[in-house]
Amino acid sequence: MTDDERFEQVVREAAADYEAPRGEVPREAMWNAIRAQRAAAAPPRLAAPVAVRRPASRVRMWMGMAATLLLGVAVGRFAWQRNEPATLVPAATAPAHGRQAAVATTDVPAVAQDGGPSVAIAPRAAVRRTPADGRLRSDAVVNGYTVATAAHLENVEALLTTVAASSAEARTDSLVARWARDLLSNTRLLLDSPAARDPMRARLLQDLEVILVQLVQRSPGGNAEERSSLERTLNRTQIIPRLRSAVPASLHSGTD
Amino acid sequence: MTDEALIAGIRDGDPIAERTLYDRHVDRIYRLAHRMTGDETLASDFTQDAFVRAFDRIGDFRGDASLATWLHAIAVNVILNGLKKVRRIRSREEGMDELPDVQHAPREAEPDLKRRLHAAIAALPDGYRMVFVMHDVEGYTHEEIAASLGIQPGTSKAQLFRARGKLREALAAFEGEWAS
Repeated sequence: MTDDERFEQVVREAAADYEAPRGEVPREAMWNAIRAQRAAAAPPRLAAPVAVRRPASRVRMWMGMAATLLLGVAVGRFAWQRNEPATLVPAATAPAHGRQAAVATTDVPAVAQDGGPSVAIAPRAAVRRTPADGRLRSDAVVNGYTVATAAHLENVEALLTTVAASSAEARTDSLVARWARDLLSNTRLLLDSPAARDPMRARLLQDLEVILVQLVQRSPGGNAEERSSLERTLNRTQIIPRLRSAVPASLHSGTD
Repeated sequence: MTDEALIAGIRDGDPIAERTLYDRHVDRIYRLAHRMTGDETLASDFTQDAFVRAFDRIGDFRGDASLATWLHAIAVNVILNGLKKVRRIRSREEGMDELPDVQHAPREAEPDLKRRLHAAIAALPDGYRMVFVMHDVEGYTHEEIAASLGIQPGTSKAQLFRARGKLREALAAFEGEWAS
């Protein structure tokens, strides 16, 4: 055996316990955290499908068509105004061109005489779509917040159930504190969002904020006073039953 | 359950497939993360991040490598980037210049070969340390290391050679243990 080989052997033996984990791999704690992270990231994916995306693409299509029509009409009117004396034709020829021609082309003389139909149709079409676009967008936003809030409340429920079931251990507490910190920022974001327009939901989020702050600030290993204070708040606010009634059953079954 | 069935299941959002993948690989990934960080919390964080990313990106898995190699590549990437971030934060908070330099610590303070070796491993640059830990401590092959780090097997061998060289320098006082 050469010196190099002996060195490798010595190093391998001496390095075998280099930073080796002590105790068991915290499989369940990590799995719960993974599920919570994925659930927290889920709302954008949940909000996107069928109900929301389809109208959005239809809206885009109509907006595109309306914009093209408006642009066409605007260019047509501009061209007509600039060439007015030269492009005027007798009124009798106007109906022959019809609406389509007037709308599709921008330099049709008939517009001058039959300006009513062509100029009026295009803007009316555009105006007719705009409020609908707004409504669809608004609905999509509201749906998104509703789904995000429901997913968030489910995560908080999972956290609080974990807290209620776990014993006072420094490691568990630090995991819970990290989890609570993430949920606290989401709670505050939701409180500042349209999701908090519903007074009942706003009250629930405010109560959650208080509880999550307590969890974040709890010292690792937690003293008895902190734990009993948290328990008092949980009992006083009846938060877990309120959460359970606030989270739709469909979301429960979808994420389990 | 085969890897193909697992991948198909995860793509379909099957929680059992996700859990099966997790159970198969979590111990090895956590152990690697722990050996690289020396910290339970960081090891847990990096392991979780690796799996979250893997589940999110399962659609990108093309099957060029095995599922295990692909998962380890994600984990190694998460660990190395995570270590950089942690070091940046710590240097901002404490000032790295004030931290003791392991390699220049007085020899009398570390009479034991094992302790000195551990300190020398900790002082290796992250890339060398990753290759050394994966190969000499965790028993990965150079092909697995290369696939995980996105390098050639030859590069992995070269990095291991350099890492051992640095360790040998740090352990010069103990040369009698292996020199003939």
